[in-house]
Amino acid sequence: MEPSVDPMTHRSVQAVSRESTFEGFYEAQLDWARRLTFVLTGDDLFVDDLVQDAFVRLRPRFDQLDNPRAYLRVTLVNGVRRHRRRERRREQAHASLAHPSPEEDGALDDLVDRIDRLPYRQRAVLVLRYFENLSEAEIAESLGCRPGTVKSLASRALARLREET
Amino acid sequence: MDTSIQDLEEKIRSALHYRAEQLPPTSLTGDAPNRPERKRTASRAFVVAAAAVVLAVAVVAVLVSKQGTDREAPAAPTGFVPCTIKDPGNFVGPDGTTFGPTPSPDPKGGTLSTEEIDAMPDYISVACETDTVGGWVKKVDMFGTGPAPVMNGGDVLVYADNGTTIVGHIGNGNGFAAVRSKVTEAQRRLADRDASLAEGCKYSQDKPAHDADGLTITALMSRWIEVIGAPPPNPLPGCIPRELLFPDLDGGRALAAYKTRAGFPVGGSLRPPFPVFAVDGTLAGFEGSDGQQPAFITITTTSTNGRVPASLIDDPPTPGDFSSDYTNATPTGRYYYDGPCPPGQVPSPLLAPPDCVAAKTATP
Repeated sequence: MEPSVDPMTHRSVQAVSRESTFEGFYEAQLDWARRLTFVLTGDDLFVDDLVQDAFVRLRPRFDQLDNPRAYLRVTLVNGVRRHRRRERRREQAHASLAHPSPEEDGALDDLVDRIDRLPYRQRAVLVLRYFENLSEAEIAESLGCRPGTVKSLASRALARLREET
Repeated sequence: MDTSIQDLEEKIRSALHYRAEQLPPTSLTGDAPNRPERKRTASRAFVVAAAAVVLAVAVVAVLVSKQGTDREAPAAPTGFVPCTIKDPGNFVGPDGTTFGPTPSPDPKGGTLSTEEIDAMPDYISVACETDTVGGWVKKVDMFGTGPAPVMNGGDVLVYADNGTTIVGHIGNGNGFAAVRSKVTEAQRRLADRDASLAEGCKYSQDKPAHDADGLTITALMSRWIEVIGAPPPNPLPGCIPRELLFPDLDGGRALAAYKTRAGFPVGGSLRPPFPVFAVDGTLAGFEGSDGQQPAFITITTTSTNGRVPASLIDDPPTPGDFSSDYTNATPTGRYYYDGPCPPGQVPSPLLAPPDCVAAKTATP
C-alpha cells in the first residue's frame, strides 16, 4: 500500500508527524540541510554555521509554519548568499582555515568547479533544480523571483557550462 | 530535448550529488574530524549537562540590579522554568579599568535605556534559578540596541562559559534549546575572540605578534564624519566590542548596535561606515564606505597600556573590499574636530572644545 503523503510537503505523514516538534524536525532535516548548504557553498568550513543559523532563525516561527522545510530551504539559500558576500571580503583572513580537498574525481570535480564559478543565483538554480529536484515555481519561491527569471538563470547557467565544456 | 543538454543536466546532477557526498561529518551531531577524542567527549558531556540543565530551564529575561541582585523576568511562559541572567561583573580592561556589574534595568521588566545598555559588559552570563551558569549571551543579542524592552533579542546564541562552545540559544526570551552541540573551527575562533574580549580584551592572538606600540590599524576615514557629528565616548572603557570594528559589512547588526548607542542618524540604513575607536577612546577612523567616495587612511596608534585588542587588527580590510582607492590611501583623512593644530598634532576627536593631541602617525 502506498504510504500516505502530506500534500504540503510531499513527504510521508509519519515523517511529518515525527517532525512536529522542533527537535524532531532538527534531527530529521539536519543532514539534508547540511548537504544542500554544502552544494550551495562549495565550502564545508561554514556549513554547520550556516545550517545552525538557519535553524535558529526558523525556530521561533516553527510552530506557525505549514512547511518548515521549505522555510528552512529559503533561509539557507538566503543565508548562503549573504555568506558568500561576506566570504569574498574575508577570504584572505580565513585562508588559513581552508580544509584540504578530499580525494577527487577529475571529471566531476572539474564540473563542480565550473558550477562553483557561476554567479550565485545561477548556481542556486542549478542546485535547487538538479540536487533538490524542485520545480521552476518552487525554485522561484525559494529565490524570491519569478519563474521566468528561474528559466532565464538556468538557461544562462547551462549555456555557460556548455561553453566551457 | 537536445541530447547534449540532457547529458549536461545528468552530469550536473551527478556532480552536485558527488559534491554532497564529500561533505565531512557534521560537528553538530556526529564525530567531528580532526578533533581529539578527549575533547569530543568533554564537549559532549558538557552539552549533555548543559542540555539537562537548560532543557529543564528556560532562560528568561531577568535582569540584575545595580547592587547585583538577580531578578526574575516577568511572566515566564508555561513550560519553561524561569532562570536568571546573572551579571559576572567586574570585567577588567587591558588598561586596568574595571566595569560591571550590570546596572539595573526597570525591575518591572520595563524598558532599558540606551545608557543602561551601554553600561553593561558586552557579555552577560546566563544562569538558571539555581545559579548554575548556563552560558554567556551577547548583550547586543539579548537586548538589542536600546532603548529596549527586556529581552527583545529573540533568538540569542548562548556560549559556554569558556567561550568555546555554543550550547544553545534563548528563544524569544523564554526558551533555551540545545541546538548547537559543537562548533566549527570558525565558530570556535570567533567565540574565543569574543569571549576574550569579554574578559577584558585578553585576546590570545593566533596571528603573529604585533608590536603594540607601533600597531598599524587600517581604517578609513570618510566624509561621513562631517555629516554625522561627534562620536560618542568609548562605550566600554578599555575594551572595544568587536562588532563595532570589523563587522559584516552587509549584515548591519554591528552598525545597528552602534547606531543606537551613538544615536547616529543613519536613517535606518544598515550600512557602513563604522567608527573605529582606539583603546584610549579616541576615534581611530572609520571602516566602510558612505557609498560616495571613501577615503582610506592607515593610522598608527598607541594604546594606553601598550596593548590593543586584537579585534582592531584582525580581519584587516582586504584590498579591493571597499574601493579601488584602497591602495591609494590618503594620510589626510578628516577627524571630527578639524580645527587648526600645531605641526605634529591633530584635532582630538573627543575633546570639546576642540583640542589638539599628539598626531598619530598616518601612513598611506
